[in-house]
Amino acid sequence: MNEQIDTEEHLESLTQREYKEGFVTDIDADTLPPGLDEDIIRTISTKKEEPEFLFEWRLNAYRNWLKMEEPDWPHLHYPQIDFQEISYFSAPKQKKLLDSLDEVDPKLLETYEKLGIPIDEQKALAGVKVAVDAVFDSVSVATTFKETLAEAGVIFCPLSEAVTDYPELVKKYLGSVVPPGDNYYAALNSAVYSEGSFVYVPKGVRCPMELSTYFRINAMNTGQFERTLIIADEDSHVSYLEGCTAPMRDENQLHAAVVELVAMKGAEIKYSTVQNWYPGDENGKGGIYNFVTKRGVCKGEGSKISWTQVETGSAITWKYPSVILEGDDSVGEFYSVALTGNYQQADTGTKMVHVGKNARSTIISKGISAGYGQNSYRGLVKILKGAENARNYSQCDSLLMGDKCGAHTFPYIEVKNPDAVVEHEATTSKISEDQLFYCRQRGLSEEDAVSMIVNGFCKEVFKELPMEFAVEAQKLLSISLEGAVG
Amino acid sequence: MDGSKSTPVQSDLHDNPQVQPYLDLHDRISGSLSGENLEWHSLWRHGCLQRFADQGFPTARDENWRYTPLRPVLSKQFTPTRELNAVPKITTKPIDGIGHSLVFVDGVFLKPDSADKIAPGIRVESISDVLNNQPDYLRSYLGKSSEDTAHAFSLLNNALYSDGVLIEIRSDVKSDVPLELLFITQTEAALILPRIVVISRAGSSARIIERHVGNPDCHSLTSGVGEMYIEKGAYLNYHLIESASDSAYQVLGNWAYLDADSKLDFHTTTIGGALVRNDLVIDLKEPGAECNLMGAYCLSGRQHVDNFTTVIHSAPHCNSNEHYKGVLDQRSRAVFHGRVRVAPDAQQSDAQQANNTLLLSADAEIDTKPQLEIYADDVKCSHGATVGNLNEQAMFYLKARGIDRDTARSMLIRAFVDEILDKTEVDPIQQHLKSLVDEKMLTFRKFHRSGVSS
Repeated sequence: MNEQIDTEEHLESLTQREYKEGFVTDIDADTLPPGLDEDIIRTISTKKEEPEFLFEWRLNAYRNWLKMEEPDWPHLHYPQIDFQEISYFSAPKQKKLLDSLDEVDPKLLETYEKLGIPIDEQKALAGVKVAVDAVFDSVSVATTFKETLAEAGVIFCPLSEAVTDYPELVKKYLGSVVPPGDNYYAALNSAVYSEGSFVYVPKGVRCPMELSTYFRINAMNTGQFERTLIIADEDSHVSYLEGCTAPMRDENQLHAAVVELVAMKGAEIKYSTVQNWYPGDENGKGGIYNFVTKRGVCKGEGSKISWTQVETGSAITWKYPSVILEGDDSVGEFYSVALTGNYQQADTGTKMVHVGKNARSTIISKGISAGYGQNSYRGLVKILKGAENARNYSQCDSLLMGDKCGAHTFPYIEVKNPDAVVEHEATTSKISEDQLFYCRQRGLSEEDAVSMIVNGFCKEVFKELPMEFAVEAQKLLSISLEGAVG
Repeated sequence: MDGSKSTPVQSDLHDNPQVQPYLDLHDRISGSLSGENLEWHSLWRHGCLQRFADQGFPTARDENWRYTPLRPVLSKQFTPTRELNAVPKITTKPIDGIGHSLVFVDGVFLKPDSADKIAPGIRVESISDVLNNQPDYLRSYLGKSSEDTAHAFSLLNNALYSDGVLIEIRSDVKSDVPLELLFITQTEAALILPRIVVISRAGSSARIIERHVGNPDCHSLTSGVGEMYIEKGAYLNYHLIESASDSAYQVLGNWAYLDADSKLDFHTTTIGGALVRNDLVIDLKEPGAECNLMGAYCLSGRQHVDNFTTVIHSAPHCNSNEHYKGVLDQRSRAVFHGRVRVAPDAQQSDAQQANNTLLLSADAEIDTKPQLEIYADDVKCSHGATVGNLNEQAMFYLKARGIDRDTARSMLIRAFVDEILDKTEVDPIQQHLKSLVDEKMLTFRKFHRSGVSS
């Protein structure tokens, strides 16, 4: 029985990890007072020197938002958010335009270094070229590798810059996938979003490197509302990485982002996320509320959108990266690992909406719950009437570690076409004594054994991540498993 | 006690035309309802009526009803029949080999002439008689259905049911001969509020069939409530056979509470009905309890069936197994909602669930929603759902052996549904269900899909 006690202690220790990215960078910030009204929206719009159409667009979203109600259907419990207590804009005070990384405030760079993504090392990493558009609070500070990308014709810039330089593209696609009135948080984001990334990959271009944005919430009491818009034109290919961290604070902070993907005929977008926002302390105090709307549309024939996410952070995660499969023969994929420890809650999953013919979708979701964590998978597979020969395969597995946590699955399957073949499978289990015993017997420590089993559980998802991210994801998971019984 | 009765029920939805007629109806008939002279019963009824008035009927915004639009039901007026001891106007072919049939005409229980035909040890009595003779006997058995899983229809039954039947199976009963409850619906626009209380005493074993049949053109609304208490070590086998006419509306809620080491096999077969909603709530209250929920549905025309099941593992070491299979043709639509909740500390739970549907027509629709809510860690839980058409290779195999398309198709459909029907242990019931499915398949459209035909 000693074995069993060991296991329990071990599992307990898994749930108590410290947040390694919880430092605050002391930089002067230009922050608006808390509160939200039409004036604030005008101020944001003016500060960002936006054209009139965008201001109108924001205002419209805001008016929509006022009429909407905060959703209460997720399997989440948190106190009411006071939207008037949040400051909707925070920019590091450093206004001049930058040509190179050398001009960036060294303190900023230091922050990124602590995060483990030293920007100034990126350029040296010639082998694994990754362009980073770093969003520090709300303003995009530096964009690297712009030139290499420009050569290939790829546009990768802050959204505000795109508004000025490519207003036609922005006007055409902004809000075309996630309309301003789509849902409560998307409407809020549309009204107050302060920065984001914009990617356009022209016809037939295979983006020469993986694009990456690193989001970080720094200032106190600010929400981060960024927006990402990626357009892959015919037969192009792009892989986009997104990572998130935030400092440790006692208050809860709100993050309501919107991501829109558009894939034209034959195009492929691969969107990978490693989300490691501050999850709150071991008593469930503080942490980020992560309310995100992510959606992609496979517009053209044979297009493909693939979402991969590793969610280890945030006090609350509420997000459903979705794919609308409009084009015939299009492909949608969703691979997810969500870990909830301590008092974290996650309600996450995907939507696959089959509109075109012969479209295929795959959903692989792995949930790990520990401590008092509550992990829900919520997904929709919808086969519309005209979606002939649709094919979907969904698999949702949950791993429970500890007897105080919960794992839930809420799949919705709606089928209106008889040609569709839809399969859904879900299992819930804990690490079995047998598995542990087997590993222990072969000389592995308890900690290594658990880590190995968890990694094996997540393997199907990790193998979808780009190489650098897979390493980071595994590192994140092992941090979560750190401090186990020695 | 009279104080509670004299307070008029106020609806918060004053202008709600759907709720008001039922409140008026209550005012008219409350004098004739059973148990009104009992304080506990009257208070409970009144509380349910008030809750019904407050919440009204569910709308599409209600998560538990999002795939089942109620407009066809709510746009009609239904009234309870006043005729007592009515004579069944339609003849129903009996199921061979079953024991006694208790007949309900338009929901009114025809008291059996003599009780001697019912197996010894099984008490069958109308609820109003029990309330009169043993006022507190049903106090802890009636009304569990009004707890938090209640919805407007079960509240409506609680508030307005006039009578029902108590079936109590004494401890020494080990009966393999099924007892049948036969519900005959024959009056247009009848509001039928059946109420059944089943108490399986410790160690007993029994089988019950609840069968619904009806006049083909009868647009009636049945809102039934069944409450089942299965005591320690008891076994209950319950068959719900829904073969009412295709114009009937049925909302049937069954709540079952299982004590230690007891077992419930609940079979639902849906063939008839315009709009059918089956709520099934199983609470595995004590360790060692087990339930098997089997469902089959074969639909055509514009039929709509919503199977809404909830299995709650409240205690450790309980098993639940749920399997629903269905075939949809023409413009029919089916909804499956399977919720499994494993409470904290309900360790060593084993919960399995599956839903498979065959879509035969481009206009049919299935919405399936299996859900797992798990708060304990040492559990084995899984669910699966599949949707598809008939396997073309299997069709080819049969056709290659000289079997014509329609026969081949029928064979494959039957094979698909038989997986559920074969779980029925009593042969005559199984034969009856299979003949219902065969009859139903005659209404399926002949080959209309070019994809399968050669």
